[in-house]
Amino acid sequence: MIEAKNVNFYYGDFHALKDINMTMETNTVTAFIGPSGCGKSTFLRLFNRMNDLIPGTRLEGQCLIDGEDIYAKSLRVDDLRKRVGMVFQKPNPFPKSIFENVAYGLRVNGVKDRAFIAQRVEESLRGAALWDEVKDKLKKSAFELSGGQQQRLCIARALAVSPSILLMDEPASALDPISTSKVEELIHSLKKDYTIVIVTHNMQQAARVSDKTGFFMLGELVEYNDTKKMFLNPDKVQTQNYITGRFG
Amino acid sequence: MMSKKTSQNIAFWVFRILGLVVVAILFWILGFIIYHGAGVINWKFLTTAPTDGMTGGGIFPAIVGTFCLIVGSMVVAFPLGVMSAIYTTEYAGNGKLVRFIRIMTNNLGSIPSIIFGLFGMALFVNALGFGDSIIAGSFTLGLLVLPLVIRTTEEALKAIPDSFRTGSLALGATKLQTIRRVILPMAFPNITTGLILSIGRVSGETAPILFTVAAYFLPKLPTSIYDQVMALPYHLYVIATSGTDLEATRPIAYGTALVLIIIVLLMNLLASFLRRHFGKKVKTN
Amino acid sequence: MEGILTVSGAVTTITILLIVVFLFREGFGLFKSPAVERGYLLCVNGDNPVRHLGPKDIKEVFDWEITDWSELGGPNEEIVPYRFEQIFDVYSDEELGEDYELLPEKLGEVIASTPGIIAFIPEQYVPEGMDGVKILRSDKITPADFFGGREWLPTATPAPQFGVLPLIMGTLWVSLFAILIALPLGLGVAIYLSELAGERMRKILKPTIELLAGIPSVVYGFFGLVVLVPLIQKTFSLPVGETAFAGSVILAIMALPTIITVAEDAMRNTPRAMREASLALGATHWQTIYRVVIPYAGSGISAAVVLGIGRAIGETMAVLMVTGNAAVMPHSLFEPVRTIPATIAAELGEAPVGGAHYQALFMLGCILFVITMIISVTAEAISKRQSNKGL
Repeated sequence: MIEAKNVNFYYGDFHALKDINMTMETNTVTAFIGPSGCGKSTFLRLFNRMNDLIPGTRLEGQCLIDGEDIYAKSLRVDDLRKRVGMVFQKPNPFPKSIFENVAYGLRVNGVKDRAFIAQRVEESLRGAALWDEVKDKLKKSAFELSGGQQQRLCIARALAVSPSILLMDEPASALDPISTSKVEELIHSLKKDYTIVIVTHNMQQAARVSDKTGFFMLGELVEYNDTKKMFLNPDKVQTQNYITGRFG
Repeated sequence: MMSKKTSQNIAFWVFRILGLVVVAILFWILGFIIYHGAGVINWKFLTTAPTDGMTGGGIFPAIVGTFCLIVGSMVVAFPLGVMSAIYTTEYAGNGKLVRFIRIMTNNLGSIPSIIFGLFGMALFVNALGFGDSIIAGSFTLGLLVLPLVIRTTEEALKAIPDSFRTGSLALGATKLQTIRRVILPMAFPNITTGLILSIGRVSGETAPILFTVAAYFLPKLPTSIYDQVMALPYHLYVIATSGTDLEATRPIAYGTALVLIIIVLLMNLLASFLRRHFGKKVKTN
Repeated sequence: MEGILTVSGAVTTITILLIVVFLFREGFGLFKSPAVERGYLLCVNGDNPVRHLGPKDIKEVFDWEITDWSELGGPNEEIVPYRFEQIFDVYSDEELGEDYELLPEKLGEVIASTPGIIAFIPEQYVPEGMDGVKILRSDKITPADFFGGREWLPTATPAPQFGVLPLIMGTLWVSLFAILIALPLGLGVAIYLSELAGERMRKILKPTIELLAGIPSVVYGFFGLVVLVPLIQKTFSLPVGETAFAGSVILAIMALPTIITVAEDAMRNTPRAMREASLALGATHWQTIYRVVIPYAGSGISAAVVLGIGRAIGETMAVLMVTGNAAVMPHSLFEPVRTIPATIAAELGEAPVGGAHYQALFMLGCILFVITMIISVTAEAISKRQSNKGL
């Protein structure tokens, strides 16, 4: 379970997230939608503390995962990031082989057992529905894969360290329609094992893959509801306007 | 097994210390020369000739000589370099030819300076019969800094947006007129930085002038471009390694080294100042 | 006007061509020079079957290292090296005539009466056509003598030795150890600057380090001479401080700014997305650096190393001032050595223009030129690979 309590976030003077409260249940897919610059990606990146990397930012309020404050001093960031996997907007494989890309997270976390690594790599590639396509060329450079395959490789890479949560920052926006539908199918099948949070600017995608949807605008969480209700009969008029394409 | 946090801490401390050590070494060299040289430099040191078998007096002839070489080599390198850069950026397009020229320029820039010394001696001193002279030294040094002038000029020209070129051409100006009246004046401040950096380089080079111009001891000032001169870097080499009384000449050596460093520092500072100052101007235009 | 521009576009190419022409023309003249010092000839007894000798043989004969003709393919006969000045021990000036016009005759008598003799005689006094005297056909200096020779004694008589091996070894020792010192230091500083240093620290350090690349090499050499050389002598209690090690340290210091700047640029060019991906998988910052950033910047770092080596190999003045310049095969880092550029700088002023020594120094220039061209092309190829990556 992921919780945000009274979260405010600042880039220098800019107030990027305004007093957000939200709870995401285990083994569900939650989608964040909203016009660009609304803060949805920033909010997502709070949960694996990726925003720590940007100088001059400040957080108020609490972010909890399973009741634990992930910004507590005693918590180690690299442990947190192992539990919370992330898939980025553009596929960003390392300049290494396919196998080494997936094994990377295990290796940096001190796993030395080769048999175990090989097994996890296969499981993760299967989990990301990529195994059949790459099983004969695991030693080849990851750059030889197509864009859609690269993105599924990045998902496999995130799965390999056995996270409980997957954060996806517009994972299909750089892909062609066929690759997109493959990634969407994948998200669907991953739901039973992972808690997934996905940021998307594509409302059909949110409608297709998610159980609950949050609509962000100008740094505020305007509405958070079951996806079905959100797209059929939203509570707020801004949501209605956005979804029907009146602005944004 | 060491936790990954511990190994990170160890590694980062190693790098911080390495950084500190290297920076300390570099500052040590600078500080050492400044510390020992500062007391030596005064008006008299800069304006009198060496005396007492080069154990006394100043370095005036060497300063004059280096000045002559700076002027001479710039007369050679600047027009040639600027024209060459104009050709490659404005005329030659983007084909194989330009790539070839650029590779050649890079290669010329990577040739060790002693080779320029050999070449200058063979061509200018012997084959062309200039003898050991300012003109032979200037040509040698000029060719040495040519790649630097070309590279900075190319960068300056490329920084001018194409809209200025098309704008001028659209008014019926020829390509040559466009370059002369629009592009060159706009790029000029940045081209000057190349000139200044070259001056810094020329004033410190020793190997190319060893056999083309430099004189061991010559208190008389040059009267024509066919005269030999003393030069600061060669003078430092001579009094540091083969003076008549090494201990007595040490202070003069420190002073000469400091003068050399000051010239190089000034030229670099001036260049970066110009670049920052005019770099902004071109952008806001 | 546009014609002039076109011509000036080719100016660097023309310069390189001119350098090649002049360097190689003078340099290859060496292989047309006789092995014996110019203006002299070698004569042997008319019965001696040996017809010609190489520069190394001649030198060893006159150094008493080869003592029997059988070692040179001749008869079992002890060699008697003879310099023409020895004639003055036997005959007075009067007996040789006013203009030494009788000198050739007397020399001829000596040669004809000594079966094992080899005489070193100025051309004008050679007893030509005399019975019992044979003039040795003069060998040319061969590329094998030059590239395979282990002795560099350019002013030795009767046969100067132009063996380039000790100089090549000296150059390699000094430059390679310089890189061994500079590489870890430079990489460490580059990592510090690109990954750890605060923005403000970086803004101060980077230009300072770049500035240090501009300080003339003669100043570094001077610093090495007055600080480093005595320090090394004292620390390792050596007879002299001017050693290959001193040269390596000074070269390392000089190569540092280049290595740091190029390597740091390469590391900062690692895409942000790759760093984030690594961190998001639970890697620490340090793991990200050595598993992602350094491999990604690999070719940039290699280019930095190659450029550093190039600068070290061609560097003249600083090395000349601190390495002691003994042209012998180096056996340890703590002995004086001499590099190729230092040899050129130290000897060209004394070598008569057009002589074998002068040509040998140009040949050294050719070697240096070829090495630096190879290095420059390699660096170019490496950085091209860098820019093709990540597509």
